Amino acid sequence: MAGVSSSAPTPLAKYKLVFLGDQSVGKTSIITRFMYDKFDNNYQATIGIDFLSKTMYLEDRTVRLQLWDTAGQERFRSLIPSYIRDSSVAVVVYDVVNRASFINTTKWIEEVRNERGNDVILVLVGNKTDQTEKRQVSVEEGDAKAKEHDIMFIETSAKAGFNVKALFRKIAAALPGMENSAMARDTDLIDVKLNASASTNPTASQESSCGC
Amino acid sequence: MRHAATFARWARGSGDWRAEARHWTPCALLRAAARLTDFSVRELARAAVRLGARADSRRRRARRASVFRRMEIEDELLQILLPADRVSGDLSDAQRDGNTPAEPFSLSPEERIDRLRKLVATHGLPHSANEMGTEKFGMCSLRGIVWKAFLGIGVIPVHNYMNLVAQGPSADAEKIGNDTIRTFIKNVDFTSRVSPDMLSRVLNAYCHARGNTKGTYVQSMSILCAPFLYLMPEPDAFESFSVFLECHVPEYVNNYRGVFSAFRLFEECLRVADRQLYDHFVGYQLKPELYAFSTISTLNACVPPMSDTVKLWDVQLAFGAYWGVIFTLARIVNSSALLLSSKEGPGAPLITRELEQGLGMNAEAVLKLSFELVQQFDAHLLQRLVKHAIQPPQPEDAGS
Ligand SMILES: Nc1nc2c(ncn2[C@@H]2O[C@H](COP(=O)(O)OP(=O)(O)OP(=O)(O)O)[C@@H](O)[C@H]2O)c(=O)[nH]1
Ligand SMILES: [Mg+2]
Repeated sequence: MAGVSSSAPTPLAKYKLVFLGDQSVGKTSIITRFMYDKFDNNYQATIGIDFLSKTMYLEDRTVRLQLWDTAGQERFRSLIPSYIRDSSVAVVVYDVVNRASFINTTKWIEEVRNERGNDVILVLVGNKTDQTEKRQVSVEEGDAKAKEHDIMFIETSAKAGFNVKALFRKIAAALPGMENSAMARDTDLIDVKLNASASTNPTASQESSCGC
Repeated sequence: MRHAATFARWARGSGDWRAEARHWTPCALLRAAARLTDFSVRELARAAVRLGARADSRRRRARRASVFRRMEIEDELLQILLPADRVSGDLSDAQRDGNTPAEPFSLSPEERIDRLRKLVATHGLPHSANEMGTEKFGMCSLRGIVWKAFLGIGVIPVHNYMNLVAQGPSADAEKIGNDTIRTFIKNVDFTSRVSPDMLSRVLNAYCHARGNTKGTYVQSMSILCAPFLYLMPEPDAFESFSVFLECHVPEYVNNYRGVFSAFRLFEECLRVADRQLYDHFVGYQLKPELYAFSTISTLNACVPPMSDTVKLWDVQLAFGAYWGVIFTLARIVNSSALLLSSKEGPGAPLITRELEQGLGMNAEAVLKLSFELVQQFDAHLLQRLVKHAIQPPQPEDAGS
């Protein structure tokens, strides 16, 4: 994994993020919202793994994110460890409307710990918060579980676009070498700035562009 | 073996062709294919080069010649296929034609299959080949009939399918439902021909036919089933799908073992076909199990449109599922310059979604380049390609 020197400009640091979680919890939706700012009510199930990459322009440096969007399907599960093994960040997603998917996050977290021990950034994500009526898992429960496993936590709605950028800011801030950056200290502030800067100041924009 | 029983049903009928059909069992076909492979691949490649040279002028002449050509090819196909496949999966057709005595064929089954193969490789099927319910071919499309011939399927036991459907939802019905409502849902050409219910019936029937134990259905099977339903009535699609899974890609379905063999073979092929790109990918630790999982594991069925998929499957069914690996290779090699010039620094120059969109190549372009690429592979590599989808990896198969 690329360490980052303090002197800018540094070469592109590359990080691998693996997205895990049961089928249909919204992994692909979160990533698509982040990458293309789009949402679709009818995504096809991911087949095996979907590989994407994205350059994120942060305040003081640029990072390259490799996103590995895995399939929640059971059939793929035995292959997951090999993908976790190579990743520096694991994002475990559940659906706040589906309690079973929340319960299963324990298994996903354990799977990550088995492969990577503590040498990994783990984030628990409760998705689909827009479905307030049908909610089966409360914020408090999500938060408690994250604390129990000593990992980060956030709730999102890929559909509403809620907190999706914040999720990636949070991850970026936690990446190795980021401890001293402005990012890490002011995550919330930057998320606000992000919205303001998107249209007005393209160079400082937190919007990233994928050159693929 | 299970399919032995399935095909024993054929023997029940009388008449010349039914006896002959026993030689058409997929296993016999596969044996024949294994015997013929080296030869046919080389010959196929030669034919393809001729074809490629003609491709440009062909397009210009296409409009003028298309009516003629279509008639010519259809006539030849009819000669090869009928009367064996005269009886389609349609019940009324079956009843009407079931007792028609079969005319004796002048060609042996092997010769007929070979002619079909050549036809598919050198001419492709006519544009109208996807039409279902035509006067000439009946319920099943012409392409569907050709596929059934490659799969060694003659008369479809319609009642068998109907009985299976009558058993209702299988133990995997829920999993199937999750997949079928999400299968090619945005492809209008597909959804106008195939409904989630049709997919669901065929897949549940498949589970019942295999004893209805939970876990018979594995996710993404719906995608492999889709091309068959796109071209055939349900009973035919059911039979074809079953034979396809059991005889053509068992290693892709029971587990992903064959798919992982395919990734290693893919890398070997890439190394031969485009050393620079291969090195580039190695440098970025970019592996096919990252960017090409969906295209390779579905034999390109996940790359729209379905009308292109079926053209690629013509060749896969004629010569072997391994062509799926070569088709993916063709797409990537074709984009080589673009991928190499990516200015994105130490990152990924390729993402799955672009590959899933075909990287700007239609079926014709993919086929043309694939036929060229395959000529570069030596016999050992070809042999392992041929076997990887149907046999567990052998110790001697280890990379050269
Ligand atoms: N209401 C709502 N629906 C969502 C949200 N995110 C995803 N969905 C829907 O949930 C379904 C599944 O979403 P996907 O993103 O495909 O789920 P996935 O986790 O990638 O699923 P697999 O690829 O099968 O593992 C889709 O129909 C989405 O439209 C959300 O935030 N709110
Ligand atoms: Mg997905």
